[in-house]
Amino acid sequence: MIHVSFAAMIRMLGEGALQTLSLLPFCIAFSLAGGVLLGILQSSKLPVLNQLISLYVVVMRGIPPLIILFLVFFSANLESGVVSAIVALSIYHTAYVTEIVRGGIASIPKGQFEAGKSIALRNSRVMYHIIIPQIWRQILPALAGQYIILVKDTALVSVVGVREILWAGRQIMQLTYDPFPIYLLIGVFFYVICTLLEQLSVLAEKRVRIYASVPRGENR
Amino acid sequence: MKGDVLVEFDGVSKRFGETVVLENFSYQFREGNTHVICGRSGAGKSTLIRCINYIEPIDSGSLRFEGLEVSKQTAHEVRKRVAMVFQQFNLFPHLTILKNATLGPIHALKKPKRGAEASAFELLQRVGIGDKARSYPAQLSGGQQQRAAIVRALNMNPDLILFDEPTSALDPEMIGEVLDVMKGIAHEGRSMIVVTHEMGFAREAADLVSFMEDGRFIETKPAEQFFNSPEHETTQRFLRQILSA
Repeated sequence: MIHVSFAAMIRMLGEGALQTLSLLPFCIAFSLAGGVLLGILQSSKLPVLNQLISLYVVVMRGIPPLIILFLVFFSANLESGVVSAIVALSIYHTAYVTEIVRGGIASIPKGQFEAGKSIALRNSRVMYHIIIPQIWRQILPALAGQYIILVKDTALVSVVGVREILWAGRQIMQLTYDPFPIYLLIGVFFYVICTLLEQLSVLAEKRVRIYASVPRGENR
Repeated sequence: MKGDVLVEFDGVSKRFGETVVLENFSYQFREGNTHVICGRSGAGKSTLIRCINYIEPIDSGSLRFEGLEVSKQTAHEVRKRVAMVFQQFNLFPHLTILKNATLGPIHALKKPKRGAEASAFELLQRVGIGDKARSYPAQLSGGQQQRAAIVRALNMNPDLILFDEPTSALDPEMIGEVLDVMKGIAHEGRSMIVVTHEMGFAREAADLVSFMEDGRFIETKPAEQFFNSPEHETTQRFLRQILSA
């Protein structure tokens, strides 16, 4: 057993934490873009494509993210664990975001679509100018919840060799043979990130609420 | 009877599941008319006008607007020339009144932003809410919202405006202000088809009034004749009911 000072422990974990954090923007951006795109397609009732997207969503929902991670890592022959991790987590969470976006679109009153069409906007423009800007208020809480799960899922990616916070923790443990404080610190790290995300979503919700201070029911 | 044929229904049928709303409906709406359609709820009035701008696709028959067959392919073209005002206003709550009124002209008619905004301001002035251009729909009263929705329709400079029970969702004290705006449009000679229960408006502003029941026009007459000497018994009964109410 080797003594590792608290400061050194924090430094090593900090490096891992940075790696964890650096994955997040990519995963969030890709799954948001993918989810919005697929959610829109899913709402436009195109026969074959709809079934394919549904199948994708169902499959993703039925497989643990860890397995997706391994599947991506070993099938795509990706050299980089980081790329595998981003791809796997994005693919996995896109499925959930797709469902959230589809639900958000479904919650917009029919009259909004009709009014958009009545001023001769094409479907894509109705989505872009009228529907999608209105879904955020509805879906932000669900979206925030999903991204909190995403943050927690990043705890898996050390299995494909990403040197994130859990990997860093294991390095320290191999020196100290004392897992408890390490896992406690890692727990605190995840807790802080998730709580920040939660707060961010509360702030965002307030901002989104400003323009639409009318209760939903009144504009149906 | 003014002008050329604007909208031509020729043997149009429309059903929702088992319910037949229109069956073999034929009628020609002419240019320049304000045509009021009245009748009990469920008569098919709203469905009829919603077919014109392809918000509802027809099941069979032929429907032409300005000679153009209304279909999925032509819907975009038709909607550039036919505007609609809804019972529930359906303003876009996340956009200012000005943006509501310029979205169509800018993105569908490809008008320059400046021009679209200038005409929107002018129209907002005209309907008495010039000071609301930068407000959001939720900040307006119901009557103001519907007037804003009329501006959104007018700013498309349409050949025809469809009104789908425009005052039915309004508090009574706000109905007058919306009807006044509609009367103004009618007097300009713009073609309008108006589904409404407001018989005062029909009497004052309509060129033609139709009574609709079971998906058919039971009786269509110039406004004065319609109210003073309705021929059909069902029309008489309807008028007695609605006017005594």
